[in-house]
Amino acid sequence: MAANDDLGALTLGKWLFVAPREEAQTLDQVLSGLFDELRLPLYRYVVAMLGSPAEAEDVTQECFVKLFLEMRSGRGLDSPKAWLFRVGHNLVLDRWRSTSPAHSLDGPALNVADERYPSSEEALLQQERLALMRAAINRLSTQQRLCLHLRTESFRYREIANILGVSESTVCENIRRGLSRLIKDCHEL
Amino acid sequence: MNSKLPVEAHLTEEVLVRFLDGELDKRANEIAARHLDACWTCRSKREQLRQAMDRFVQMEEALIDASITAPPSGWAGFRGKLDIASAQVPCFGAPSPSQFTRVFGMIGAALAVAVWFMPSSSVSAMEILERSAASEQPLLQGKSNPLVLQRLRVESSHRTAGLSLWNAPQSQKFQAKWEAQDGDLHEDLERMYAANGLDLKHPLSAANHAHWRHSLKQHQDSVLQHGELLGVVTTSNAPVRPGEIAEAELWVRRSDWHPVRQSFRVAEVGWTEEYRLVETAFHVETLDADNARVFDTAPLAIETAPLRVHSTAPVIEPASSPAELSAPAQTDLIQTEIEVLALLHEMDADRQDSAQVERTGDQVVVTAYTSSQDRKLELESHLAAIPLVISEVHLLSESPAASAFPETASSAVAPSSASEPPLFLKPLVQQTGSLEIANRIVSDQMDLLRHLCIELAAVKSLEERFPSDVRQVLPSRSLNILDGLALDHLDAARHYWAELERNTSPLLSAMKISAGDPANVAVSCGAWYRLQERPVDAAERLEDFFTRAFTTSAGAPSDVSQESIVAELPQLRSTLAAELAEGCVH
Repeated sequence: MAANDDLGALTLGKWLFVAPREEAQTLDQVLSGLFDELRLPLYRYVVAMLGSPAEAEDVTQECFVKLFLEMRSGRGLDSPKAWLFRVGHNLVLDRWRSTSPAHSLDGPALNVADERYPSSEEALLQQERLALMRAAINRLSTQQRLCLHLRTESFRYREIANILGVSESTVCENIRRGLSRLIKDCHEL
Repeated sequence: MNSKLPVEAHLTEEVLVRFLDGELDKRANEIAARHLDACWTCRSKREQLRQAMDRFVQMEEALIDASITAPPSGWAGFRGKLDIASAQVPCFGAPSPSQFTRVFGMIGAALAVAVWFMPSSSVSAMEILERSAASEQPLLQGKSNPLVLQRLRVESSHRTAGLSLWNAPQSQKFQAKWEAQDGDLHEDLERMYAANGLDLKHPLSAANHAHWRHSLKQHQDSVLQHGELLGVVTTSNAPVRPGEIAEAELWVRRSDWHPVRQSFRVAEVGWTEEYRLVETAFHVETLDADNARVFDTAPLAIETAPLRVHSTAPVIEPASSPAELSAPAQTDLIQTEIEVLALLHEMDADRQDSAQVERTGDQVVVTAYTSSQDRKLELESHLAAIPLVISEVHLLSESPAASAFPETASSAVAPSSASEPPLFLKPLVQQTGSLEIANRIVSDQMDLLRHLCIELAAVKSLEERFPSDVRQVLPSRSLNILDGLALDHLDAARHYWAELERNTSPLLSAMKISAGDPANVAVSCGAWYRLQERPVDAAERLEDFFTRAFTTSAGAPSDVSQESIVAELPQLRSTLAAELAEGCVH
């Protein structure tokens, strides 16, 4: 994660305003670096929220386009990674709302990777195990799952709170509850 | 009924989780580390949590195929989207457009870029103000002669008042009614609005913010996002005189741009006064003979005023009777209630902020008490996004009287046994050889019992709130949320029960009760709302027994005696063990 941390510390907007011409190549490097480093973690986060790889790809691309626009506007970003995840989170919420206006943080159940195993005996066992895992993950509330996921992306509680629009104490409580539930469910696996 | 014994407690799960995540400050971290060095129980719990974290990573890796290195289209089209953005959006302040042309290329395209301007933290202050100012129009156009009903909570310098407004724009009628006025807040607010040229007929409005902003020679805007809300903060950069606004904030819902909160910071001599207006209800209906009574000369009592419902969904309804227009369906209210309960539980507001939810005739009222302004804003912003909800979130520090707080169980019980010594503490001390150890065991047990009772009471409450005839008419989504909520409480109860049983042997031994497995009783595993025995009653009785047996706390009923404890306690354990068995999936 060292590369990510370095990127997270860059203030891109400031760079845009003050960078001399000979450093122009660095902008390209920074953008490419951000895309290379963060697209997959962001994509996986969005997959976890949406459950649809195709939609997740679309949202992820949209996030980077927005990042590009943000950089062009000259606004400083202390942590592009946190910014990208926050924008991604909000875009997914918008999609949820457009399909079901009434709900809030209540996305679809995690339901990916169903067709990855052929129908051999081993594959059936693997599918059964996956079904148990899916059940365990789906017993978590959406917020618990997202908090735990963002934690595995090395975000601090403060950053997770910012991405999800909740308080730090709520983040901690969601992580605690999520882990407690997993402790109970893990014996099934 | 906390025993309040002076013992050092184990680390809480929250502290352990923060410890594992490196989220404790230096001193707390040192204390936790020291405790962990000395405490096997907490080390064991920490390992469980660590393993659960690892397990979560494994599960997600397995479910979101870890081998994924590219999405279905392999990022196809992304470079094109960037090029379009580069070509179509003006570049403000960037060093050179040609630089971006060089970096991304200019291949052109016909894709629209409107998606980039959807509500987000990058939307401009002006756009928020304009959209918010126009947000009421679709609602008004849906009525032949609209009547806008709005209720606000106004706060300033620890003063609070309610303000109800009735506005019929086509008939040019207006009525305002202050409620529960605290001090001279009404006069102060009117004076401030008049001095700054604001419209008191629309006290919480984008128009007022825009008007003041426009009057400034120099100002600075910030756009903020908090949960479901977008905020505009405008600060005057020029010196302000006493009575003039120095800074204003407007918060609107991202979903429909409706303004829900506004504040003005006003310069006074040597200090700054802040006025906050929070919308607690909003509704548009058709003006008719019935609701037009509000414009009668004689002021109406607030209780009889026809401010009936909070519904902000911009749906244009077909013409029908006023009653049909204003009364939300009961199922809608029940669904809202479930959604609110789940949200509050998710935010831990049911415990942390003593949040209470009440379904009245046409709305869902949430009352909560928070310890900080940030937490208050967080709760209000989440609740504001749910139609039909009225939120009354108070700061603990601003609470007018202690009677406003929910009465705790410990203060509600008569101290019938206050002067009597604990029945079994002495043998426990002899058995453990130390008063401190005995106290620690008892303290842990009472703490776990209290939590067990809270969780089971929550399940019971859900069962009573949503009986079978109500559940039958609910859509599956609401039922799923309700089930999830109840199961979460039951899971927590199971966890506390398992911990409690691990802790219970020395206590049973002191009471000369067999510590073996509880006797088998019929297990009523099934849907959570079909619990055959009321486990909450058993848990509360058990709490009474342990209180009387090992603590000097008041509260145990008079029928709790040495004999009744010995006679009844095994049956209570059996009941709880059956209902909360690990393998019992409700």
